[in-house]
Order: sequence, then structure tokens, then C-alpha cells
Amino acid sequence: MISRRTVLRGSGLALLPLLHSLLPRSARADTNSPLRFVGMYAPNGIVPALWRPTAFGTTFDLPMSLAPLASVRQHVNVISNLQLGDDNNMGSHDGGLKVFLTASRLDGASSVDQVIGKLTESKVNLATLNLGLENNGYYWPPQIVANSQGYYQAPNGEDRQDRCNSAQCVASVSKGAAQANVYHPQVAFERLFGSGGSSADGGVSPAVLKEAVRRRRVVDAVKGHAASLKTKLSTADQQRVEEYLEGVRRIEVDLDKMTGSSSGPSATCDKSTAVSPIPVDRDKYAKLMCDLIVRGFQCDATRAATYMLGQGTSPMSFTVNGVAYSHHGDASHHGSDATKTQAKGTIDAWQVSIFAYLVDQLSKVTDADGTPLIKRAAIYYGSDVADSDLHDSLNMPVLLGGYLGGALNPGRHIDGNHQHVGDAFVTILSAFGVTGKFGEFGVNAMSGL
Amino acid sequence: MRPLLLSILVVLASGCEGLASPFGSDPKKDPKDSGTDSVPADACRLSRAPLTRLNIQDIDATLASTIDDTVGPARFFPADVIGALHFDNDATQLAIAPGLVQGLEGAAGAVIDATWSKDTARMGSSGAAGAKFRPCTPGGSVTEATCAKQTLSAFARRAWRRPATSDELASLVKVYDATRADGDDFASAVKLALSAVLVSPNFVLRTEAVVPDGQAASTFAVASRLSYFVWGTSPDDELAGLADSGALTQKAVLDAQIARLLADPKAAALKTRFVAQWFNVRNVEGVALDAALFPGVTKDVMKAMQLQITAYLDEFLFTDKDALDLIDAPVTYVNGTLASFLGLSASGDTLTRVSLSPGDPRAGLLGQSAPLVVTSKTTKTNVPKRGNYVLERLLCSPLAPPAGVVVPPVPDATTDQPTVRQRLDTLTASAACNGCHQVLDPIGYALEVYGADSRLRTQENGATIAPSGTFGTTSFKNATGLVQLIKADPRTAACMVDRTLTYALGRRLATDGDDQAVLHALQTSFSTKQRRFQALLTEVAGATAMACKP
Repeated sequence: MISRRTVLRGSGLALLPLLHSLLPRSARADTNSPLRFVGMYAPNGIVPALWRPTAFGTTFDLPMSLAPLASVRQHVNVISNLQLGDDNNMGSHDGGLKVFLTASRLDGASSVDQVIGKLTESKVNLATLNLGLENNGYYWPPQIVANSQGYYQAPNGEDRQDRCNSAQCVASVSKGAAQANVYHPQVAFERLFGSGGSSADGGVSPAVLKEAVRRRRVVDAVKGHAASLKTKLSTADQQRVEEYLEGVRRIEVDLDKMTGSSSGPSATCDKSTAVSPIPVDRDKYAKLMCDLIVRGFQCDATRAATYMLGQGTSPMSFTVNGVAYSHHGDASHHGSDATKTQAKGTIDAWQVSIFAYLVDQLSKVTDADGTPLIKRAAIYYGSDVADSDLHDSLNMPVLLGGYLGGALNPGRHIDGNHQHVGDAFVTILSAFGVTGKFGEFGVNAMSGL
Repeated sequence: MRPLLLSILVVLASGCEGLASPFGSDPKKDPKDSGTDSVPADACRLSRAPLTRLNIQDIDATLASTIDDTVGPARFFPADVIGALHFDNDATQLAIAPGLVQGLEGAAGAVIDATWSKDTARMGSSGAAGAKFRPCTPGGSVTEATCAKQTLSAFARRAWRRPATSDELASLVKVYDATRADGDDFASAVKLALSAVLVSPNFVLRTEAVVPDGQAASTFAVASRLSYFVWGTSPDDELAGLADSGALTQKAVLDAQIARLLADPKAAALKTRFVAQWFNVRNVEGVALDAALFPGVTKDVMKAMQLQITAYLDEFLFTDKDALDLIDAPVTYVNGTLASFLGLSASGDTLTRVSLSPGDPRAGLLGQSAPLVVTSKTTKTNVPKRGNYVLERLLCSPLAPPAGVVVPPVPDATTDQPTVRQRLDTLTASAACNGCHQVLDPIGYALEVYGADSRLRTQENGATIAPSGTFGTTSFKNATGLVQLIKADPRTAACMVDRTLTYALGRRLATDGDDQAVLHALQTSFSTKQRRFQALLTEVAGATAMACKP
């Protein structure tokens, strides 16, 4: 029998111990104090009255939707008055989702995580960890059933495919293809840690070297096929070959990692304890995904993650005071109905509680040198629209957790003063050593962070 | 009739007549074609799709049919995106995610290994003749190098749907040579080179269709288009042989192959892939109706709904009947489970065909359960969605989605407004909404007599459902009246042709030019032949096989 793991060897599931290449990297992203990024997406906007603190500065109030921040507020900036683009209608949910991590409306723009992933891919097992809680829709994939929480899982537990149906994913690869989300915790685990075993000495065995040589022969041959194919194609069709070659390039990065010498002390972390399949309890599911991000960071298996708490226009069902609400249809479009507005505020508080859990875990878990991960991480949290009932985009709900190696100074409610959300990405990327504009709307590093 | 006839003549005059007689049996042949069986080089009128790739299902099906693969690796690759065409072979949606290439590279070795082992077992029992994958074994006069090259050449031919160029073959042999020289045994070295065939862009991309602009489609492209359209997989040996010899572009040969493919059991792919996606009934079993709101909904019921719609569509599309009758045929299919759910009488696990009286609400496509269930939310009906289903999938007249407008949800029922019709009409009264909703909603209102679970009902929240309305400018009394108007609308039969041609091409049809000329000619022929769907499939296969303009 051929195991699924064997089949999946190439799709990011290195079967090998975590190894580091010797490629030079920018000083601030080096192995000893690596920076990390999480882009967290919460669907369907917010209720401004239940979200926005009234005071700015360090002693600000936490309205209902932000209440779960109470225990981690010292690690988080709440930022108001940030706009997504230049006008108040960025194309509703779909348009907002597209701009969410790219700061751009253009096709083929890269998302923040992908930029960071490309910078750090030679150091880690997995360039980016892209997670989603909701399996993209009502009738898809095949063989889905709703559990009592309103999300979907395969009855036989075998649907482990990555999905990005209707292009509802926040990460996008620059060459045009969207990066599908992993929603199965065990798949995420395998992507991060491979078979889970790590060799004690970090050496590269002759068998591994030989396997790498064999795979390189295949890669060289198919690159030749691609090159010859490109000469026969129109410019538009060449794009397909470029997309193909991006996949080949990632295989080569994996091969470099296989054969690179292990350098520096590997973080002490748990790469072997397996995780459960999708928990039926949504809260446990959401926190398990956070745990995977934390473990991935701690083991330096990845340095960039995205996490969608639901798909765009999420219809995920929430029960508030005994009444079931479809998140988008019933709660987010509350029509100023007091009960529905409270329901939306409650749903948002749950979403924020997952962010708070992630921040809390990152403040408790440390790098090998004893520094809490939160000191070297930025956790961006936002949505595709601002007011859930209006779809406006001039005052976006934004939380930015972490210190990012000193680039961020959290613990405050900040007046963004009509800067763009993309400006925050400029600040974050510059900490990773990437300077200049980002996308369409990331123009200047954000002031006040 | 005159305009329709004219369009046939236009098509004939420009040379399409040579193609598998796609446009009827007009005896007037273009004189320049007489005396030859070959399709002239200018026969291809349709533009090819952008360079497309095998989709997830294609990959596994192609591996299964070329090398008997049972691993099916692609089901673990990133899922395909379904766009506005509703088909998973839409070239504009089939981007190549890095995970796809990484997946192929990771899986190729395992797939090749498994097939190699099976072939070894076959050769053990019946000698070299039993092998499907390994044309030779080294020994005697056959050197290892010769056998390796032969094996690679044969596999590349099948997996790539065209022969490898000499450079490509040399690059594969180089993988073998280097690996063999490195100390691997013959089998290990050949298997590695074989895996390169699957990792190559020539496997996942449909490079067999690549020809310089302005040149006729290669016979390999013709074979591959036919095969992926009808079978959902790559050409078999017979079709591939005719591509190799070049005979496939002879009209008689092409006709015979189209007939053979359609008669083959593998043509079931047209049902499970094309037709099922067209009517959005590919995964009725996966619809998760809220069991608390709809007592009696079980997995067995959902499974029976799947069987019902499959049997129903098969009757009108895959037997010798008028396809248009599927709109209103007084027929349904139930087993015992579904019969008791719907209040019909039948027993047993197998489906029974039930004849209904004309006008029975369970008659016609929209009286079957699946279309009603897939156009509902899991808790309630969705009026605009049902309207959209009819407009998009039956009439090919989609409305543009609302742009720049906040789409609010339909308010909950109140004492004053118990029915969704009252609430939705109030909500959409403004000019900004009403332009589309006055077209969409009456269709959905008529279908309100079917609940989200497809069962019949007369009341909503205690108020009687009002199913009357207008379709275009004509009024109807109820769902049965609506269905008659849909059937009589010329767009309905025309749409069947449109959907078929769109799927066969794997791209959106242009709204003018040759696409429309070919579409109209096919529509005319469909009408002339009393809308026999098998004849349509034959003609579409012929018309699209040669698509070759850039």
C-alpha cells in the first residue's frame, strides 16, 4: 500500500528533519531572533458601537466585542480610523477580501504572508501556513455534512484537500494563483513537521543526499520542457508556464533544505505529538489552529501564517441566547435591530477571543533563547468591510498584536488618522527587511505604531 | 425560418461542413471539398481555449486510463475553482497553484512504483504481452538503453497525449542514464525517468493542443479534445493510433470515432461531469438540510434524491427522446424511501419510474427534488436563487450580480408579512433592486410551493402561498404554468446547445463572430432533429475537435 503521506511528499510535507540552509538572510530575520507574521481574517465586519473604544492612548475602554482582549491588552494595539482604500466602497465583501492582505485591487498582487514566506522559505519547512476554519460553502466539497456548529466536515474524516473555492482565500501568490487554505489540523501538522521525527544530530544522511540528487534530475528535465514550451506560446499562455515554474521553484527550495547543513541551535519544541482531526467543538477547533501556528513558530517550521476564522460572507451559524444566526445573513445585516446587533457583537467577541488566545499563547511560549514569541511576532487582525451592515471601508476594524522585535509598541488604542491599512503592512515588512511601497495602498510606514 | 437557414449556409460556405457533418445533412457540398475525405485546413472556425490544464478529476482519470493507476493522487491536491460558467474545466479558472506542481512531484514516484509492480505481476503471469506499461525487458538483443528509451517514449506518448519531441525524449533518457550510471538498477533508473513524465508541464498542461497561430489543430489535439469531452480522460490506444497516423482528420474516420466514444461506457463522464454540473446536481447528497426544521430528512433521502435526478436526466438526455421534454415531463423516479418522504407510493430500495398526470406538481425538472434542494438554504427556500437557477442554467440568460449595492437579508416573518413574497417585494421595491428582482423573484415565488426540502406545501407561516406571476410579459397561475412558459421559450432549447458547446470548449463563448455562427448552426440542427441530445453531442464533438484559432 502507498500511504497518503508518501503521495503527498512533495506538497510541502518534507519527510525530513528540520534543517537550515546556509543562505544569507537579512540580519533581522536571522535564525537566532526570527520575526514572524500572522494575518488573521474575521468575516463580515463589525458593529462600530460595540467595537470602538472611546478613548485613545493606553487607558482605553473595551466595548463588548473587544472585551476578550482584557487579559492580553498590553500586547495589542487597537487601531481606529484606518481606511482600506481610497474611497468608502472597496467592492463590498469580495473586493475587500482581495485587498485585505495585498493592499491592492490588482490581479496577481502578492499578499503580505507570501512576501514574508518567500524571504524566509529557505530557513523553514513551510514558507507559509495558510489556515481556514470554514470549508468554503454549503454544497461543496463532495460528501459534506453540517455538524451542529454549522461548519462542515467529511463524514468519514477523509476530506483533507486544501480549498479556495470562489477564490475566497486571503493569501495570493504573485504569479496569479491563489493559495488555498488548509482546514484540516492534521494536514497542517504534516505540512509543518513532516513525519514528525527530527534527527538528533542534524546531519544529512547519504540516503537523503542521494534522494535529493535523483529529484534534482527530474526537476532539471522538466525545467527544460518548460523552457522549450515557452518558446511556442503566446504571452498570455506563457503565464501558465510561469505559474508552473513557481511550483518547480518551491520544490527546489525544499531540495536545498534537504541537503543544506544544519546550522545553529534548533529550538526545543514539540514536533512529534500528533494533533486531532477537526474537533466538533468550534471553539476547540479554532484554538487548535492557533496552537498549530504557535508550534510552527516555536519550532521555526514556518514564519508566516494566515488564518481565516470563516470564509468571505461567512454563513457560519452561531447560537446567541438560544437563537441560531447565520453570521452573514442574519447577524451581520442586522438592520439596526437591537437583538441582531447584539448577536453580531457577540459573534465578533468570539472571533476576538480566538485572536486573544493566539496572542496569549505567543506570550507564554518562548524561542530557544527564552524570548517570548510575542516579542518577535506581529499578529494582524481585520476584516473585509468595516460596519457589517453598511460594507463601508473608511474606518476598518484593525487589531495589531505583538512587538515584532521592537518595531511595534503595543498596549494602546491608536488613531490611525486616515492612513491606509496597507501602511501598517509597510511597517511590518520593513521589519523583515523589505522596504518601499506595498501594493496599491501601502505607501508609507504607518506613523504612531 | 429564413434567418436560420441563412446561418447554416454561411457556415457551410466557410468550410465547416467537412467536420463530422455537424450541421445536418445538407446535400449541397462546397465544390472545393469534393473528391477528398480530408477536412480542409480552414475548417476550424472556433478559437481554442487559453492553454489549459488537466483539472483535478482529469489528472486522476488520465492516470487511471493510461497506466491503470489506483492511487488517485490528485484528490489530495488543492481543489479546482468553479467560476461563473459552473464547469470545472473552465480554462480561465484553472490556474496552476504551487501545491499542484509540488503534489505531482511528490506523487509521481509512488504512482509509477505501483504501476510498475502491477505490470511486473502481469508479465509474470502472461509474459510481455500482458504488460500495459512496460513494452520490453532488457535481455538478449534488447539492451537496457534501448528498452529504457522505448519505455519512456511509449509512456510519454500516452501521458502527454502526443509524442515527445526528440529533445524531450533525450532529456528523459538523460535522467535514466545519469541514475543508472550512479549505481541504481535498471528498474529504479527507468522509474525515476518515468516519474519525470508526470512532473513535466507536458502532462498537466494540455500542450498537445499547442500549435503556432493560424495553423490547423494537430491530430493529437483533435483526439485529446474528443476524449476529454466525451470520456473525461485521455485517448485510448485506438484513438491515439489514428492521431499518430493522421487518419483522424478524415471525415469518415472522425465520425466513426465520435460514434465509438459516445457508445463506450466511459461516456458516462458526460453524465457525471457535464450534465451533473450543468444542473448543479453533482453533490445532492452533500446538501446539509437542517434536520431539526425538516423532519424525515436523512442521508438515505438525500441519496435517493441524487438517484432520482440522475435517472430523470438520463431518460431525456441519454435515450432517444426530445431533450426539451425534460422541462415538463409527467414523470418522476422514486424508491421507497423517497416516495414516503414525498408522499408518493413506491416501495423497495431500487428506483421506480412513476408516470404522473400532466400538471402534477412533481412533474418536470423543477418538480424533482434535487434542483429545489440545491437552490435553497439549509433552513429555508431562497427565492432569488431559484430564479437565478432557471435563468442561468435553463435559459442561459444570467443577470449581472448586484453591483455597488448593499444586499440586505430578507426580514423575518411578521404577522403583517408572513410570506417571503410580501417581505421580499417590500424590500426590493426601489428601482435599484426592482430591475432584476422583478425578473428573478416571480420564478422563485411560483416555486415556493416546494419547501427547501422539496416537499409540497400550500402555506408559509400560516398564510397561503401565492404562486402566480409573470414570466417576461406573460402571466402564469402557478408553477405548472411557469414551466410551460419556460418550455415554450426558444431560449430553453437554445441554452441546451449553448451549455454543451461551452463545456466542450472549456471556455466562455464569444458573443459574436464564429462562436455565435457555429452556435446558431448547432441550434438549428438541434431543432431540426427534434432535440435529440445524442445527436447534439455528436455534432458538438465534431465542431469542437478542430478548434484551432488562437
